[in-house]
Amino acid sequence: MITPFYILLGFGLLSIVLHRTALLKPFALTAFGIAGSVSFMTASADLKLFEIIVSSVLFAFILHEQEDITITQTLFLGASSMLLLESDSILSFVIAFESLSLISVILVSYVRTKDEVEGAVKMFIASALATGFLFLGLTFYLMGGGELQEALHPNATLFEMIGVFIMLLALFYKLTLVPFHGWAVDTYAKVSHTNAALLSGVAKTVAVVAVFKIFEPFLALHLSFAVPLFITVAVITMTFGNFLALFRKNIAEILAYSSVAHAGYMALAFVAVSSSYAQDGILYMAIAYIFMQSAAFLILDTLKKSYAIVSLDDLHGFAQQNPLLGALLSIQLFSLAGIPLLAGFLAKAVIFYAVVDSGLWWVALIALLNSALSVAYYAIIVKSIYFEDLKVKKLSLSNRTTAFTAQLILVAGTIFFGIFAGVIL
Amino acid sequence: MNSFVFLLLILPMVGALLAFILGKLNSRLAFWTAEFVSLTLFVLTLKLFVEYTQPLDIAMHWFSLGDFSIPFGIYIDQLSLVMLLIATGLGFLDVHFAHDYMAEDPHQPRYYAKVLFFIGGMILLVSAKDMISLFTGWEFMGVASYLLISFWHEKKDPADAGVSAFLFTRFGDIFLFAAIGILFYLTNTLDLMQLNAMARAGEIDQHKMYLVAVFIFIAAIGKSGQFPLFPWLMRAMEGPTTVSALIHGATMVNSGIYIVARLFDFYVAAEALLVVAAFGAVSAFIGATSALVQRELKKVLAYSTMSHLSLAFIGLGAGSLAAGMTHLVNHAIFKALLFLGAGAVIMMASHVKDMWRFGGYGKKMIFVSIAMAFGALSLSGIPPFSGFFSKDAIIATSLANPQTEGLIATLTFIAGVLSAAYISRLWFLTFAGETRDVALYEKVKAPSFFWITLPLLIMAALTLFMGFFQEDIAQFVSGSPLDEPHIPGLFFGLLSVIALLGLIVYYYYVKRLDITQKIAAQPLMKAIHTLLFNGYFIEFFIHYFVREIVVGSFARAIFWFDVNIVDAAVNGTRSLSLKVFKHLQKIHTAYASDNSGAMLYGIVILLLALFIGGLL
Repeated sequence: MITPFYILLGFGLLSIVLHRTALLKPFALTAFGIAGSVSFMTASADLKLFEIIVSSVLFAFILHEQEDITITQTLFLGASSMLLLESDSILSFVIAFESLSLISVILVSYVRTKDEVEGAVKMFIASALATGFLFLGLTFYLMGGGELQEALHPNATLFEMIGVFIMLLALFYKLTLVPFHGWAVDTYAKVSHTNAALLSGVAKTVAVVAVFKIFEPFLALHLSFAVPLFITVAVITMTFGNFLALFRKNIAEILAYSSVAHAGYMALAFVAVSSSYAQDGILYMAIAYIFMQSAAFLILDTLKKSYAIVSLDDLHGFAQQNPLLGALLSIQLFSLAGIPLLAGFLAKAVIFYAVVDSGLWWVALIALLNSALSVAYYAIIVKSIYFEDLKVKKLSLSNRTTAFTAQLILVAGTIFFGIFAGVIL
Repeated sequence: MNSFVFLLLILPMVGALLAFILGKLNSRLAFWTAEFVSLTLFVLTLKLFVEYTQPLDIAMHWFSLGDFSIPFGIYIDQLSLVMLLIATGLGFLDVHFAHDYMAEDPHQPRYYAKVLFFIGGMILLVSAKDMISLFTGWEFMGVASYLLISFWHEKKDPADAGVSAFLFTRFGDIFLFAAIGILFYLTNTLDLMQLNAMARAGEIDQHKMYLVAVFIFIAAIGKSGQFPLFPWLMRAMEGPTTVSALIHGATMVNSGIYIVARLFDFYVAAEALLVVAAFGAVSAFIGATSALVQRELKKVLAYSTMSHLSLAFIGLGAGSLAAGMTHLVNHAIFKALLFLGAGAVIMMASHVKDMWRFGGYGKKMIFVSIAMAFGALSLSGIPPFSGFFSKDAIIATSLANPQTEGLIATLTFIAGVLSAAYISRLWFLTFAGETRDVALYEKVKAPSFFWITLPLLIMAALTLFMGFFQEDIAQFVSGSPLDEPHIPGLFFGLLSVIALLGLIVYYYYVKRLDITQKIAAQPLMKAIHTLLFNGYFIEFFIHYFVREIVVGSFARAIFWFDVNIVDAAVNGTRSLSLKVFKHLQKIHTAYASDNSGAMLYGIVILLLALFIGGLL
């Protein structure tokens, strides 16, 4: 049967031939177009929409990307994402998860600066550790009598429980939950912004959705195990991420910490696993997040390459220089902050509602306060775009329409799912 | 069938975007896009109208979560259909007329995009099934109205007028929003039809319904330019005349009446109709008397709009949905005709609006003067023009209803007959007699037939033609005939007073203009004139009230609270956050070894959490 995975894998292998030709980009775009439509026809109902969205976000990413090698790697990343989303047993999950980690590491290992080396190495170490933990957990799980070719056992023995716990620790690495987030902040802020967009925007979101899909039935049966674990992780992660983002000067660092904080919000779906809205919550959050986070990092890439903007001070008065790009960035930031009528708001609303529905209103309250706190640092960026004086006229090196089209696709997603999510989902 | 309805909702928005983008390439393209889109909308509405058998009811949810859901549905019945026909039909004629009227404007793409956006808002409003989609359409129109009034925002007056319109209508909208909240709390539904049904069945407490009905009516007052929230309507005349015709004559101002008519059963059950009738009567009187003395062509029409919308409110308030809605339909057409006719005159007279500088224009633009005469006759209430039947029915209904037969009926009667006086004054001053500004007169040319005169003639024909189908219109809109209580002598009394007034106006404004000016110079007349000319100084009172009481005392108290308490708390949060930030920052170092240490502690914490969670 033809699945998006095979299509992307095939196109990825073929794309190597097309390097250094003008055909590569259209070729990759076609791949994601076909993958999206195949998802529409073949994917299972609950993940159909999300797979199409992953394809379209990667489509926008290809529009933006200029490096040939990264385009090929993006095709592979898309393939392993699809594999991960479609996995239904422990074995296929672990294999797909490892392939996603591997392609992520390969992606960042194409280094050009010293900073990128640091980011890549940290990510490599973290990935290696995570793999170790994952297989350790898997061993325990198998010792307890688990089966590889099936979903997680509902009636777990003690060893199986330990195994699941250790596997979750490994997954916390990938989902950048505190205290396993250390690598993420440095990696996201230091590798090139396009790679950061792929890692923090696409790969992490796909991983969250897949982990939820595989672990949700198990966790829902072991609430006394899941709820305290995830409450601790979620609350610490979002508080930590938000507070550390508050007084940063480097925009990429702010976004990196905001990414950690959002991992905390996503973990709330696991907290609310007993509620029937948790599934909706994670899907809303994943869709919103994949659009806004990828878009924010891609705009950052344009800012860095075309205007040499790195820190908040460089951004002063940017709206006078390029009002359109300033507005696009502001929309995505407002969505991240959770301003109504944008996707980020609806995602938070649903996920908080799910938490309240599962009877943990105080956790929702902490999340709400966190969300209010987070508005501050997004607003600071918007403030420097609009309300500060332009000091030095920044030189614009290039202005590419394809990159701009990519932004339009992403902002359309953010606005559309902010207003019409209820109609679609 | 359904897909047509969705097309009706989406097409204006897409058209607005297209008009703007294509207009950037070539400004004429903006016009043609708007013309095409508005014509398509009208054809679609006609199709709905022809195929109409039963109300179209599409329930949708904007957003739902568990048992909490926000509806966003479409409901089109006869009432909506008539409003749709008005909005799209007059919208099309208005766009067509703008071809010449806006021909020299450099910002045409912006203009047509806004007009289409406005039409889209109106369509959304009248095809709403529930309060949410209604409110969305209501606000879309509010925004579009603001943008269009201040279309020439480079000048000060239009910009101020836009702000004024925005603030006045927003004041009403707050109450609509509050009403929606209260309704949802009380009834757990926002469906308009269901609200009517619940009201009929007596499932809601009457006092609470009364409160909601009054709140909604305040919003209707704001939108329809009624006492005391009307000053924005007069200032809105600073916008392009095509905008005044479409928004402030024919469509948007109707939405206040539409919302009351839509919830008519609710109002009946809430026993709130008397409020509607009372405010309507006061507005009708203020509007009719103030219209008598205005100098500007469009201001006369603005006050007349206010007065005639009040008549429709009185019709509803006196308990006759048929009379009120029929008058609304008739009024929409003849008022659009009068506004566009005024637009033609103003355009040909080099954008002068002062009637005292016109005179004798009938010779230069014969068709425009005839078309406007049709509109004026309909507005005065001369049979067989459409306006006669509905106005007569309203006056008769108000006389027959024991609740309104006293003061309200008197005011209604006065407003009804005075409309003959001010509109004949307008017509005579503009088209009859000798010109009073020769230099201006010399420059006047005959307008283009296809772009300017044709839409006017179409509407003039309609206003005559509709006079013969009043019973059918009433039947279609409200499901009941124009049940006119027979009052002996009313018909002839009305007619003779109107004819007499027309003659007096003709004598004083055409034959003996000199006497009129002498009379106006008397101190008492001058005082009355000033009072009427300024709309009874209502705007002045509102400004005084807002400035002295709201801004002067309340706002100051809140400001003190904000500075001394809220800001202090916010600043405290900042320094607290900074402390937390600094401490947390120490945890995060760039060294991998520190990171792994943190992880180890983290695992210990998680195990602890599991342990505690297991104990609890």
